[in-house]
Amino acid sequence: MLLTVDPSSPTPLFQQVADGVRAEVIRGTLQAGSRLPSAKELAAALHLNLHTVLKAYQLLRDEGLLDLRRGRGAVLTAQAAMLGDLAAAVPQLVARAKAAGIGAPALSALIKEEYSK
Amino acid sequence: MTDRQSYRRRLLALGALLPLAIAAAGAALILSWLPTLPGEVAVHWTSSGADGFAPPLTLAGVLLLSAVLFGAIVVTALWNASGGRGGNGRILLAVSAGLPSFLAVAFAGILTPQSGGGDPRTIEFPVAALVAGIGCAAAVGALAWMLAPTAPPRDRMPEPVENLQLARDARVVWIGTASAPRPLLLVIGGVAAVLLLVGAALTFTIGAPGLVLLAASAILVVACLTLSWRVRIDDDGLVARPLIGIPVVRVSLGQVKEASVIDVSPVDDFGGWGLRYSSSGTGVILRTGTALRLDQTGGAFTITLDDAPRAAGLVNALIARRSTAESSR
Repeated sequence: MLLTVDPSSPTPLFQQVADGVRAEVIRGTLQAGSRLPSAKELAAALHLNLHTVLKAYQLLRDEGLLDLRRGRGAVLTAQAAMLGDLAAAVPQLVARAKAAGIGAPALSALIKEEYSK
Repeated sequence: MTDRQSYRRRLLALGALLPLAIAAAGAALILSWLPTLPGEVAVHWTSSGADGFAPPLTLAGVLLLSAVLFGAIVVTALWNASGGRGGNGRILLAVSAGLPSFLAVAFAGILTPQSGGGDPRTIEFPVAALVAGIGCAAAVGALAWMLAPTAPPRDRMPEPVENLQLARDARVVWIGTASAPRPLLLVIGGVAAVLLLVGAALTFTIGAPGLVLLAASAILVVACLTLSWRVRIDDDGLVARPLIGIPVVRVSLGQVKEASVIDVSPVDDFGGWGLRYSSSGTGVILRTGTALRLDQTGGAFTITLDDAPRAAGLVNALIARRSTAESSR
């Protein structure tokens, strides 16, 4: 898996790590059952504070994507497979929006509205 | 029938059926002699005479077991081989057929003078049996060598390197695993388990000869642990280490001229699996297929990775960023 964080970006670093993991799930590089590197290893490689990586992992756990267990490390749950499947449906939706001249903000607003129903 | 199918049929015939048939014939011969043999026969000698004894059935068991275990590894290892020099595949097949030939003839030679009664302790070391065994093994091995099938060439279509862009300040890491195909790991693990059980049983009943099997089992377990590697690429370069933790392979980014994706064949390009040193450079070669190749000033480093296109793209992006940073300084 490939993770990038950019300290000069306005997005918080832990958010960037979580986004990166989600992107890898959608890409299919990470699957349900895949083990993420230890927070310590990731923090060292990305020159991040250990707590930043732990916060990202906790965020993913709260989303139901990650299983955090002492001794077993961070393992992706079955929901990772769902996310991957769902991602396959997105290009079609975006293509339709683009063809109709609807931009990303309008489309995300549509999706958010559907959620709040 | 495709080339691949006919190759596999000949591989099975030479690598599995031939050694099994030889071992079975040897075992059948030993069984047919059982009534005339003493309960324990001499199987080990020192300069002062016979000092190791075992039931003759043990010899039949060792013969069959060695043929089955060695044949299983050879056939699995060569199942997906691809065309090329093929020399290593031939050697494996020759040994696979030669080993049971040697054992069958040597065991027959050991047992012949002991049949018809008499004290096994007075039996002399059967030099002639060993010489005949070696001769037989050489002849059968040479035959297998000549009949060894040539693996059909595989289309080598390396995927293109992915184009990655890196922001100037972005910190990036790529983490992945390089692992041997699961069937190979299962066969090696299974053989190790059988050797462990049989070795333990022999050590308790006969003694020292069983320790050899236990050692072989330990070697296979260690081999299994070096067939799965954890790989990390970051600003400093590449670090790869097997599950047992040693040896660690490091490639410093400053040494790398260019990264590319290639399609490797373990036996043809590197002469086998694992950490290899060959004319193609150093390699962590665990399966056939896509691999990351790093061209360095002192030779190339290759590692088989599923995600090689992206890993190569990242290395090239890191090199580009580093040279930009240096030139703007």
